Amino acid sequence: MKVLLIGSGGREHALAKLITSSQDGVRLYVLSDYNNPGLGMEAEGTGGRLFVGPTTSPQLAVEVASKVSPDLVVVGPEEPQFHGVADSLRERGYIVFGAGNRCSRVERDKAFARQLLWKYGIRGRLNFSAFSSLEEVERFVKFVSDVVVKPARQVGGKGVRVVKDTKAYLSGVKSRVKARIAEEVFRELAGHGDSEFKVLVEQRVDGVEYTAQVITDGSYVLPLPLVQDYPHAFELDLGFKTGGMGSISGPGHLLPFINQEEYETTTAVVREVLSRLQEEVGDSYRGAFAGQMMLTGLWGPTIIEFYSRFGDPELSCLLPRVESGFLEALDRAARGALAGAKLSIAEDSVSVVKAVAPAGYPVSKGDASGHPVAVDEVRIRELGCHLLYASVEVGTDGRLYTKGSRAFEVVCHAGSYDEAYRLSELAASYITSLDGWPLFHRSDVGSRWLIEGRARLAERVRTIYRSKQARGTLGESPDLWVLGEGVAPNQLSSTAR
Amino acid sequence: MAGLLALLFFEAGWDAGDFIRYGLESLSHRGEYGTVCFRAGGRVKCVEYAGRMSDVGDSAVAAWLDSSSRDLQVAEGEFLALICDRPSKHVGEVADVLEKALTSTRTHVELPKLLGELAGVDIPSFVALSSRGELVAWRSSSGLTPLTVGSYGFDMAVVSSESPAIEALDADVKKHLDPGEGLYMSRRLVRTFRTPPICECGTCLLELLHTARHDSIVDGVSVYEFRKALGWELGKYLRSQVDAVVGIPEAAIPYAVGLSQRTGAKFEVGFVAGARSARSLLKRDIRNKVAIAHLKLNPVGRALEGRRVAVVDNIVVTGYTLKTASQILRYRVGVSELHALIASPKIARPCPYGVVGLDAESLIAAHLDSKSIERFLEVDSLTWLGEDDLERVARSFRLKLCGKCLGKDTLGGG
Repeated sequence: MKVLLIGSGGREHALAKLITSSQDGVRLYVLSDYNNPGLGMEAEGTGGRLFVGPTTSPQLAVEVASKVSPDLVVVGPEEPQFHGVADSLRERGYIVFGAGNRCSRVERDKAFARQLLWKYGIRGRLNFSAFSSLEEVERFVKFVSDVVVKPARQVGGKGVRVVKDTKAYLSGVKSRVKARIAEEVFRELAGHGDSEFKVLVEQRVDGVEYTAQVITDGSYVLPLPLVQDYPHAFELDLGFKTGGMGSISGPGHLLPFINQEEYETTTAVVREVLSRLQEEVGDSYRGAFAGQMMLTGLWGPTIIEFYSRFGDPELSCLLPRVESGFLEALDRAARGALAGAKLSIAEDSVSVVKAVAPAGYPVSKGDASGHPVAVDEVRIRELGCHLLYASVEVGTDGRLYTKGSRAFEVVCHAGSYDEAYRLSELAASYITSLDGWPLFHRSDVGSRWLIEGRARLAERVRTIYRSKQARGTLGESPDLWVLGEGVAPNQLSSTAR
Repeated sequence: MAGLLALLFFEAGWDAGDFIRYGLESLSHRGEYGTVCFRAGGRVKCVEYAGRMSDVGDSAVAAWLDSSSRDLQVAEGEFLALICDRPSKHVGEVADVLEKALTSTRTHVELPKLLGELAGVDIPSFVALSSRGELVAWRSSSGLTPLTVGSYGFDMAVVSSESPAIEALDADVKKHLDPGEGLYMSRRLVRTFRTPPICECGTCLLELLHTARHDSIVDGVSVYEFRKALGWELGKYLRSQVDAVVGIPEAAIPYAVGLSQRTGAKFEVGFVAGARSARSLLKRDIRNKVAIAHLKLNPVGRALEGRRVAVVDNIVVTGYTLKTASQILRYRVGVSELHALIASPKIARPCPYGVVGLDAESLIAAHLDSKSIERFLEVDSLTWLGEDDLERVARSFRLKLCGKCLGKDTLGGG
């Protein structure tokens, strides 16, 4: 079977490994933005090859596909989907796993996704307002308090800022910062004309985040085990938002802090969103879909974002846990015949992923680029761990060089988090800088301390949402009491529905 | 026993001024002299805290100190400002070591190595800021004093001696640092590091008994719950019938609540503090101690007049605060009986680590026997919590406490 994989990073390397290990006789071809050595090795190891070129170009994708004549094309990241790569390939008769442009709008256009939730009254929605003019949003943020400010278009997870504002004595400075963030988002989105709104201002919620990924052919939904990823750049959940500095998964389909009932509610939400989305955009969804969820006191399972693809590093976490059936599931989803497909998951195992990045990531990618690094892949494999190559490429001198983002991921699994954690820390230590430029990873990801902390937080929000549930007020945000005017609805819920 | 605070904004657009102000306000019980160090004109500079702060920039370290020991707690140079949470004659040496580590090419390796090389030197917990905007926070290897890390969204990291200062800034508590655990932070990189333990000292008993706010979490333990549990233990020693239980504000209130809950004797608000002030224990001058006692002990007379009263305090050092309370209750309010209960054993030794400025001469329990103290205090009975009670409660909270001021190495554990 010939498979063409489109994408360049760690997620695609995980996909490549999952695809090639699924069955014998797979020949893998990859179209990548750069010479990712991991993808090159995976492809060449099967007798396939790596093509280098812009993955967002539908023409190039079609050109490569015509050379390869793949039985299946897998589109990994969201940007090629937004640019219509999957659609162009389908139009030419290729069997494609990956959302088309219309379906991927659920990730690209955040205002659209939220309007969808409100239109159909889907459980887990948050209050929000969307803005297309800077003046409007600047006026608005002067009188809303506790919010998250986001770009209304997906820009690689960037630009999301949480401005917790529950102390009146700090509100002045926070108002100014909110306005500044809105300005930055407008600047960031200046080059993207594919979204009506520019800025979202959304109700802030507290709780435990997790990702629910599924494979779907549009009608049948195959849920994967839940994953928790860690967006803060630095240990102790400090610092910038990143694409994810690590993740954990297991045992079974749950996480240590999410129970069966919450998992089922989450899956039901994801199913409903997929169904309503296809109704709304008039296209069939064949690909991966993910709900970035948070267990909150407001709803229990609450929707934070959607991804029209597998998460990164969420998918990596499943690499050692998927025993069989992965490629078959992708192929059947792409052909619209997913019903009855099964993935075999190592139920008793857990996995820990750690991303290793050069200092400077994620804000000074220029500083973080061009540093030679070395990795002892043999030692990592001896631990039973996987190494994924992400934002790293082979230089003309044959050495590996950072490209400014997360350079590698190590993926380790074991029968317990303590052991998987121990292995992952060892594995990360086999990645070293050759020019003294610091590399970093989060030593806390997978640790008992961090998992127990998440469990305590989950228990607290569980008490709160169950109390709301018992009072019949699940999902209801408190109204406001405005002096001299009376009761007013939550300010965020008044516009852009 | 100073109150440390350190802030670093990762994202641009913030000024730390308001955050320093309200963080320090939350720690104002821990000292009388506030100092704030921040970057200005390519160097760090430290100024006395005087309320509003502005143009502080994206990072700062600050503290409440005892003004008399400032030079033993603060080291200030062009490149680095360092503030320790207790006096140390090594403060300059520590600053030199930090500067060397920060200017090396492998800061995260050099930091624990160089700090570790000061083995044998009892370095206090500290926060430090460099002129390049790097922040280092480290909890002493002795573990005597706590240090807690928090975060505000994706924007700010905060380190404080007490968790309520983190919550006051709308931030979330992330970790109570272990003894010897430290953080190096810049906008580009955050690293945790560890130095080897120098002793099994335990956390300062007085931090839990007295200094920390009731709403603090120290090493994962709720200070309020711990204090209430000690009050509950103390309740078993109340032999006399009393009509009301009062606590010396505001540090002894949870103990009085615990005692009231165990004995069934009614808790009353016996005193209202007339002014906010630092803990009187921190005052070395007797006149200051008495002045603070007078400020914080305005009695709610009608609730207690003619009644049999149990007065609870958390600790007796010089005895002046409790003496002041007993004088007020006996002669201004007119209680019919007065029983004093102390929620700690006798503090009879000075602190060898300088965490609290207790000198042997001022410790009443080091000089007088219980009967004499009872007479001095003019109370009908005087009861102290037993060491075994404290040991049991500390164990139940899995707290290991330094007991040097009681004449023991450590208490509790587990």
